[in-house]
Amino acid sequence: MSESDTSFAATRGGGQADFRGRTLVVADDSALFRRFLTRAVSLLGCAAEPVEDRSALATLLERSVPDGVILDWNFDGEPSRDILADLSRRGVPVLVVTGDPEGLAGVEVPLLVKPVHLADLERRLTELWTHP
Amino acid sequence: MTTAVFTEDDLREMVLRLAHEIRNPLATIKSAAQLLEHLQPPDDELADYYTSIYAEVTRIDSVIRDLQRYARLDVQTARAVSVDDVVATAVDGVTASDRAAVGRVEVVGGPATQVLIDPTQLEIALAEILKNALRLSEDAAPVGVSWEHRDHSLVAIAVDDSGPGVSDKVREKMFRPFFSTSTQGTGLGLNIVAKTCELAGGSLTFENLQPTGARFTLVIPRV
Repeated sequence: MSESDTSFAATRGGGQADFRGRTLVVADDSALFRRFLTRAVSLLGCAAEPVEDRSALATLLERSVPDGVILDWNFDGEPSRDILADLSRRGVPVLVVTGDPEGLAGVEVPLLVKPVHLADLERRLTELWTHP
Repeated sequence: MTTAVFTEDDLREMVLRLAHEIRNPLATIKSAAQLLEHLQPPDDELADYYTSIYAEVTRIDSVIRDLQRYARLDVQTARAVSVDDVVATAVDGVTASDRAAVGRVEVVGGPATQVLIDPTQLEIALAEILKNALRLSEDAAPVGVSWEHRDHSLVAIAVDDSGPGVSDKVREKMFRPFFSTSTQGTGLGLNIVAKTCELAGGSLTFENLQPTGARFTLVIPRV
């Protein structure tokens, strides 16, 4: 059985979360990963707004308030602590994405760990919007 | 006279940066392959190739992660933490990443104890020993975790497996960096565990059990 058979089970069978009508910003400086996440969240029904750097994120946040942000922890060359604090002040739920959770020891944030499984993404978003 | 071009800090920073630059694209490869498999469910032959992609990416990622852990050993943030909590977190982490391990770790427990150590480093160390023990125990046999006070200032956390034990020849070298009897991994795992214990002011010990099995014991200062 391949690795994704079970991890994607939730999205193949019943029980798929319906996030239609929600807008989620995907802030990651890796073009390929941003593309993957954008597609993945759209499979869950979200409207995805990909942003590639800090300036694009700031511009987008001036324009509108999204329902959530998936934020790369090492975004645009530096840790995202300041962005996290800013989004928290604005009351925007954030899911921090990282391939190195051990590097975030002591940082209390909802985490999405790379490589990202669709089922895990679905679970984390459900938690984020159920218990922000 | 020779002059070092790089300081230890430079090298550590270089390893951490390199690890980040390698692990990120690896994660993208694996995530993208999983999405592709989801969008276009493969036949059996292609599913085998997907499985190979996941396995190889995971293997490279494990090697790089070990180097990252090694580079972080000197950056410890010690605080008082309960042995119960650290053991529970380590067991949860191991069973979450390996479903075959679910129900195989028997936490026998021990006296309520707090230790002074970087909790993340101790969780990583315990998880490493647990994974080794699960791999070595045959026929899905359980692995036991227990702890006891030793002297007036230490706690000894023991992980017992029911594997074949370790020969004298391997025993001499097994805590050395880059020594491994497995074709997988870097051979840094046990060395990282030993250094984690030593940096906290303790030690890692090993003994063969009779008639079979082995015990690794992490000895750590308690609060």
